[in-house]
Amino acid sequence: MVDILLQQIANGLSVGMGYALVALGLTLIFGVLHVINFSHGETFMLGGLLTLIATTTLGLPYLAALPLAGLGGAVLGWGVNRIAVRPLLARRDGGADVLLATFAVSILIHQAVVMLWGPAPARIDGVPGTFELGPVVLTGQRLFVLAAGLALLVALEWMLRRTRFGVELRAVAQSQFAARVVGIDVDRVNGATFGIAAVVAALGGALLSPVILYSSSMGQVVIIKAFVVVVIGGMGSVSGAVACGLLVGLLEAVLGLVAGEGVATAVIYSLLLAMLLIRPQGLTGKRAR
Amino acid sequence: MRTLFRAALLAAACTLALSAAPRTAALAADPVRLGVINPTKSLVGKQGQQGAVVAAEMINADGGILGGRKIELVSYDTNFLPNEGVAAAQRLINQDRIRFITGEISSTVALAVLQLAQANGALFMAAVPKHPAVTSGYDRVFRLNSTTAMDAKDFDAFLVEQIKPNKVAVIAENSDFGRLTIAGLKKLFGDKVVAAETYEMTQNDFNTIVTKVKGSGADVVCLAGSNMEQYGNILRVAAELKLTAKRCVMPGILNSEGVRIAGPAADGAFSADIYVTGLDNPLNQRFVAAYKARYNELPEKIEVLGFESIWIVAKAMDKAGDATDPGKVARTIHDNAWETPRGTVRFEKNGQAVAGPLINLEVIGGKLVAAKP
Amino acid sequence: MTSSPFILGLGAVLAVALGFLVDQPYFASVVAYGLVLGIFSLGLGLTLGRMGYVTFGHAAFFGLGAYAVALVCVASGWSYWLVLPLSLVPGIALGVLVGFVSARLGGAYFAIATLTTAEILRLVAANWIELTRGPMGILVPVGPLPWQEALGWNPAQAYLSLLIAVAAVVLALVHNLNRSPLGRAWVAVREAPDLAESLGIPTVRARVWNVALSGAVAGLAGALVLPKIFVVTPDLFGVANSATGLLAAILGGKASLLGPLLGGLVFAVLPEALRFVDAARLAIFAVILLVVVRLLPGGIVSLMPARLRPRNRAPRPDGSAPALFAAASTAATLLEVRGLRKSFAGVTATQDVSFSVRRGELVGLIGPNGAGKTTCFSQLSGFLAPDAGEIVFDGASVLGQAPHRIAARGMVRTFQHAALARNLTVYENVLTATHLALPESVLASALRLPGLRRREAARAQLALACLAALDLGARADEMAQDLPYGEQKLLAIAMALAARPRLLLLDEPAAGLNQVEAARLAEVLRGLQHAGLTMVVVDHNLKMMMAICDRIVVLHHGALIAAGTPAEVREHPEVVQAYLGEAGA
Repeated sequence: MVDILLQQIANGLSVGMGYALVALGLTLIFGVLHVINFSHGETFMLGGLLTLIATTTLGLPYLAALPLAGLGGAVLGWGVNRIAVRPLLARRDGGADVLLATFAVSILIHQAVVMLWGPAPARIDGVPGTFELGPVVLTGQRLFVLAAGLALLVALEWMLRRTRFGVELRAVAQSQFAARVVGIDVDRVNGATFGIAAVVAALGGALLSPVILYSSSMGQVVIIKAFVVVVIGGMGSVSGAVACGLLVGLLEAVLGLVAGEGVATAVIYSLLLAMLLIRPQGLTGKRAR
Repeated sequence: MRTLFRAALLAAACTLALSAAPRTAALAADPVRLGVINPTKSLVGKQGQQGAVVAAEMINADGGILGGRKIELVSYDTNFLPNEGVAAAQRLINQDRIRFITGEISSTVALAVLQLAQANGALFMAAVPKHPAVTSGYDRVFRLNSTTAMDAKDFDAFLVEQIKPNKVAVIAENSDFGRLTIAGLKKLFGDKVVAAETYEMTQNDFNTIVTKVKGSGADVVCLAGSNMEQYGNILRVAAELKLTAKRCVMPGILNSEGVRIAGPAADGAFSADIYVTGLDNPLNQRFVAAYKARYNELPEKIEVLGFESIWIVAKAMDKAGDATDPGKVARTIHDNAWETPRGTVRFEKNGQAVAGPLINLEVIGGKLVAAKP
Repeated sequence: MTSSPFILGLGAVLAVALGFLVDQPYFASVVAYGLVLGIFSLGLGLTLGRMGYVTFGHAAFFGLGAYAVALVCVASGWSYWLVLPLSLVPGIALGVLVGFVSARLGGAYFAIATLTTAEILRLVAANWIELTRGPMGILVPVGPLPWQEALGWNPAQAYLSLLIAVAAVVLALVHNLNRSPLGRAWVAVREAPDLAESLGIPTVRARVWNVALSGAVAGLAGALVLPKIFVVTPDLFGVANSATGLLAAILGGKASLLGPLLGGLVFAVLPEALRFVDAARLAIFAVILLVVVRLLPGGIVSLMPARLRPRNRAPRPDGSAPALFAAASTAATLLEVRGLRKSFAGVTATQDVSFSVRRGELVGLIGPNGAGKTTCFSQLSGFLAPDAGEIVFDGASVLGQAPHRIAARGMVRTFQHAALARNLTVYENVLTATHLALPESVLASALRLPGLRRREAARAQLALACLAALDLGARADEMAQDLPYGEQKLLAIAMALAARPRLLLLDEPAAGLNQVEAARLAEVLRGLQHAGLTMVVVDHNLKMMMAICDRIVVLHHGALIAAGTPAEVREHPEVVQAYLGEAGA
């Protein structure tokens, strides 16, 4: 029993890291731009698709596909920001309009992929091998997801805390108006935030697609859970999203031992709802902005 | 007040415009039009659709039906949503004036379309939906796919007599198909079923389930899920976690796309189905060649069901000498046996298709082939 | 101005006319599905448009309505049409629950509450096989409507006609509610929850009612989809459904009455209208959505030429002179404060403060910055619970009561920041503040019963009288945000008056006013005092305070250091020290 529990903790962490990676960009955009990017899941899917194309059609090794996916994410993020976010932000009800516009973009991306590439799901071979740590078996790819995800989170945290851009970003998150007053180019920060979030999402897709397989609907499936994670983690809180993502993954895996995933998820949601009643400020203690 | 008045005027104008849409009746020399509904943006939907297209092209290449009338397909996407399925079917019936509807994958959509077909006296030739209620109580509904209960009849015997498991684990999707399979296997093997796990249709991580199954000590694990990316991934995770049990994919779901997804992990898995690409009959050889020429792929079960849905309806129209009366065509379908790529197909009283016994399949060297007896 | 009888009448005409005209089942059923989405979106618009609550899980109500009707139909064998009204019940029940949870947690968490509830319900529906048959779903038999055959209609015609009628009724009810005290309370809660509470609006109850009514409408919409799809599956609870409702409301124009209905129609009809390009229809739909949102900031309703949301213009005074504030009580001492103590994380904000206010008095509460004046007010009005002490108002303790209860008892406070809703008119702001004047039931609000109209007229006159008392009558139809600052402060007092106080607590009414404005304020306060109103005023304008107050209470570092007439207080050595000390620091 202990063996299975350990295995489940390892499984749960690797799944939770996936949730965290998708939730991260979503919450970052919400924290800085105060809008919800509906097309985030499709960026994740595109990361998977680019990895698939790179490893099969182009014949590149898996690791070489990662930067390509990140680049694709950046380009897509730039485009979505230009088309569906930036022109609407200044409006009085910009948040709602951005929601609608990014929803339209997400349909557009999904339909374009299905029409141009086709609806077939496919396997992507990631980092090979399996590792046995005592009773726990983890594949190379899952270990890689954990390690690369962690590295990505640390890099992001470093950027937010230690770079000039990070300072500017946090200033904009606090108050767009005040940031503008002190001479920060808010549009540039917004755009860069959007780009970073898209890169993280695409990298998340590239990292996870060898585990969960590429399919054109992988974004729609994963975005729902990421969304719950973001909301419960305290909308806009990066650490909250990461902690909540890992926690949901872990709880799912452990509860999954005694019930199906559907039931486990329902139990987790109920617990979280009850917890919010007792602790309204969310998991991380700070009030959501 | 004024605004609402304008809105009302606008609405009335639109209504008039919509009502004035032309209604044309088919002339005798016109092509025979058949309705096809499928979730065409999904892989299975696309496969079914392509099978239907090949059927129409083969019939037209043979000179059509009813003395030279060509088959023309009117196809609509149902997007796996019952409301879109109903809209598509309603459009076929009311706008396109077609009372022969074929195709579809989803049971939910098929059940909704069935109500509509029944209310309008239309013929509904369901290709893939497996829900038992699809064939119940309407004399113009047909289903080509086998039901879970039919599959079980042949496959249960095979499991008991050939595989002889000591401990059985089931991994099933949370759907009617998955639930029925679990119930069936529990009835068949009783206490020998040591684990029965279900997963959601949106789930994409199977480590937990496979870990549990591995812990149960089963020597045969049966997979029951219609999504190839899900069962394919389960096969792969099973290999990664070094699960040594024999892998049985329940009848009717394993296809080469799933085998491709699972990769080397699929080798040794076995299953059964109503059709296999390599069937040795002239019509099948012709169909496979035509499909390959058209789409550069080899057809499988879904494609054949899509093909049959058009093929049988068209042949029945030809035989009945009528392309307008669904009742007459339905009776003709019931009264005859039909040659299709999978052999001879007959229909039970409730509209369920029956053909030969299940064909046992296995995966050898990444290829899905008929098992040697 | 659109009225609900007009909406109902138009609905009846359209229901009959289109019932006959749209005899092609395909069109009828497509438009009918659009109306189902529209009704769903109207329900969602109640929370989104009125309360400003964004929701990602309204499908919880939608699905619950559908499942409830399906389960009852199948279990009882009754006709679907008979069971249909039942769909309102689970929506209301869940709405009360979710509304209560989110009222406790605040609007930002409404999204969580609905989203997780919808997901939980979806998972329950998929896994509770014995009840719901799980993913197989429940097939619901839908017979013909009773009048279908008599009129010679096909089922789609009857369905469309019924939906037009239902949509009209829902539209009329929503319109009535929005114009009722309850509807104004929703806007007040959205714009300034604390101020609303201080004016006697029970904000929790208003929120719960809002979500419950929204849930009822959404549940009804869920049940109404059954004649279209015949089968209920767990997907009804899915995020896709929630998103459709939300996006339809935004697309149509969430702040408007008709917007959500139009949005719903577009979401249903447009993809169908694009069937002629079947393969690319969803992509084209997305492009159209994108173009619309880029070009039409206010949603589709902004295309309509006429103004859709006519301002509630101030009526003429009818000569009645409503009593401005509730009759003063007979007790000589109106307010008695004893030993009030409050500290935040070790820092003492008020320290054993005791004082009393006699009937008809104008008491000033002064002290340097950080003396605890506003904290004191917040405890009196129920926004802060004191750590110790007693507050007796008009002979009874108000300790531990919610602010709106205290306001209802007659102790009303103002805030330093003025207007309730900056984008409503002056008159509308004061009208909203008349919430306490005459109680109103939800039923009367929804149906706009004759009694309500009478009381609305009385409320309107009260609002006018309050404006007149502060000399704001000429500004009635101007936007609150367009008033000069001094008059915004007067508006705040007018609103407090509309709550019919017996004791008015004014928090820094003169802050930021220039000399002329301050003089006008002093004049107004004197006038109110002459009219018999008891007041406690916090302000930094010592000159004005010395001139108007009967008595002055001085706080310093949370403690009461002096109390007496302005002359006594001015000479008090500790007071001088406190103010000098501040100046010296």
